[in-house]
Amino acid sequence: MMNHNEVKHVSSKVSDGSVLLDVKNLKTYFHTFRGLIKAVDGISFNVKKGEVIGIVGESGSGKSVTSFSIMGLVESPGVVNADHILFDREDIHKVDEKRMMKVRGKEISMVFQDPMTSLNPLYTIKQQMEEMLILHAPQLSSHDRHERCVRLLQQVRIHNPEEALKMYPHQFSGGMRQRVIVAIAMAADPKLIIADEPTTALDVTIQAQVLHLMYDLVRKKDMALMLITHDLAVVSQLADRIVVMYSGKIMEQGSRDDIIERPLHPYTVGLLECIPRMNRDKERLYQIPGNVPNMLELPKGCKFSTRCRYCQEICIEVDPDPRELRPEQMVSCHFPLWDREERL
Amino acid sequence: MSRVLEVNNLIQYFELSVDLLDKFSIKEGKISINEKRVHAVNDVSFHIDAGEVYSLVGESGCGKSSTARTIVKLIEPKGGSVRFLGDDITHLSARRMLPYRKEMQMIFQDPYASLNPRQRIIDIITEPILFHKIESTKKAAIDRAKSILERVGISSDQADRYPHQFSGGQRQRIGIARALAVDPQLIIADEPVSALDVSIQAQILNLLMDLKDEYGFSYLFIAHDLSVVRHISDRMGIMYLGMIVEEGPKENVFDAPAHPYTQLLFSAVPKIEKEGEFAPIALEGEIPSPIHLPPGCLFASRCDKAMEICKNVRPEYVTLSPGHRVRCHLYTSTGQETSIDE
Repeated sequence: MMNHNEVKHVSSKVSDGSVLLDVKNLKTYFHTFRGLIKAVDGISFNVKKGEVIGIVGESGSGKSVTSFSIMGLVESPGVVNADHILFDREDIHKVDEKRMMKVRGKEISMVFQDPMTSLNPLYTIKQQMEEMLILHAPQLSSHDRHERCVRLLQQVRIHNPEEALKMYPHQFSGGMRQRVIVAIAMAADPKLIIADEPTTALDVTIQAQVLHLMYDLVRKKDMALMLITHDLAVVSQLADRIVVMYSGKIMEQGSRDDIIERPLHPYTVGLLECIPRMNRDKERLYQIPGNVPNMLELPKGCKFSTRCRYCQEICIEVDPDPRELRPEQMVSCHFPLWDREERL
Repeated sequence: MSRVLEVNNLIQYFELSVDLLDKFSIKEGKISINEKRVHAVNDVSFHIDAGEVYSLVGESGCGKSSTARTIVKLIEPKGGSVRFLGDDITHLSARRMLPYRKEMQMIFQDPYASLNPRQRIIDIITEPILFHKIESTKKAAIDRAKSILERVGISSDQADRYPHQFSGGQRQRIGIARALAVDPQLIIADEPVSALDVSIQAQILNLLMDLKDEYGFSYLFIAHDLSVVRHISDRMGIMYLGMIVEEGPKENVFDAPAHPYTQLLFSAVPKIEKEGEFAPIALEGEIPSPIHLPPGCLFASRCDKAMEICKNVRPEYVTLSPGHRVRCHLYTSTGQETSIDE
């Protein structure tokens, strides 16, 4: 049955502004036989306590590599460099693996795209949920652990959790699995959840359920959520702030309203214009010409210069540095679109 | 306006118990036969006129792709009829089907899987031209293929390359060129843009619409992305568990969605514009198994407006406005009477 009233809204809390995660000049390069791939090339951003930050980009923009780099999950031939990755004032880029294992899951946890492969098919739901608690909350007795698992499953609205705990992943639908994964991610009460395309594999109605659930839970528990997706509409609905990535660089970042209503970077503007809208009819879609550049042959100057209709000499030569053009709105462009209505 | 495609009461199901032993079981001393079938398409009817874009929308497993595949007879229809260009093609043999195949071409979702990796682009495009005898000589076929490639935005210098040398968007252009090559009257596009990045998606959607205006064919468009459907279609059908629950001109369906499922689907789509907090209609209940379909309305188990009658009687179409019809008891006279009685 549909139930409109059961889902209560937690009004969006404004985060107190203190920085939880601060990434400065992150560079993740992959040394391959075909050449050097700069998957993430000198990006800086931060996540404040209790806020939802959306990282948007097309495939190959480096959004997933960013999250892997933060979590220390990049493997050879990848090399991560950064001035710092401060999490709760601790530089997790410099700590050893032993400490990092405590951070993963306990302080920062992840939700991945594919609910079909991120659970182990050989273990029951209970075993997989308890693993997290055994590692990060060893003080709990086995009875307490069980109680905790039941409560977590209730939170993600899985009916009869006692039964569900005994089941194996294949007995669940995609949406239920993703909810279990959300429950596992929340098990140790982390301060930050990184969700990498958490609903891309799901149908719209199920996507709405899972997104809404995650949103509600992070707001209630005052966790921060880093939502990585290619879907601007999802980010526009949920995020407080948005980071737009392209070819390993941040093109523009700022508050949700600035990015969606008043974008300044031609890429952001183009991206917003080329999406068909549910509530707007248009004869023709705006089109960003060309393709995403090959990561091995990135343009020397601005990474978007090959597709940008406002490209000038300087754009081809010089990669623009991010500038704060409005409070908290950083734009990497030589010619930001202040008067976009006229120019589009 | 001439009718290109007319589908009436189309039925498609797949047998599950392939094993002979599975088919029989002994219950209380009697041998019983269990026919386990996945009912993929249950009584689907719609039509497409010349130059029209008709979209079938629904979530995964709703039978939209099975419908498309049954129409082109990649799978034999199990019931109902398909009329194409005025002729009944439902039970034509593969050979007698050939001239019709030329007129109905498909574009597939996955541009990586739908092109033969061992064939050069030029061969991929010329093969159907020669097979359907659009051109008689190889030379003429190659010329035709090159001009079509240019039209979809692939330079003819690249015609000797293999599919892996192209990006996803370019491959989709090649798939479109292959469909165009034989000058069809109907193109069935099964999720043609859902595997592409947003900036590429806009390019392909614009190309598809330009080609339609230029060549004057019709589209059967299969999609799950409602904003894409809104952009591209003239008329649309919303599918749920193998049935079209609501159908009509795009404007009518989007402006006044009538079926509770349509309303739910529309509310679930995240929109760029923010209207307060993100609050999709919460959906409880499970989708019934397509093996054991309920006797009544297929959506009844998840519908918050379900009445007694919905569980037992499958609703017939009710016409709300010209061309806009819905399968829901909320709009039938019987349904209204029962709701008043209660």
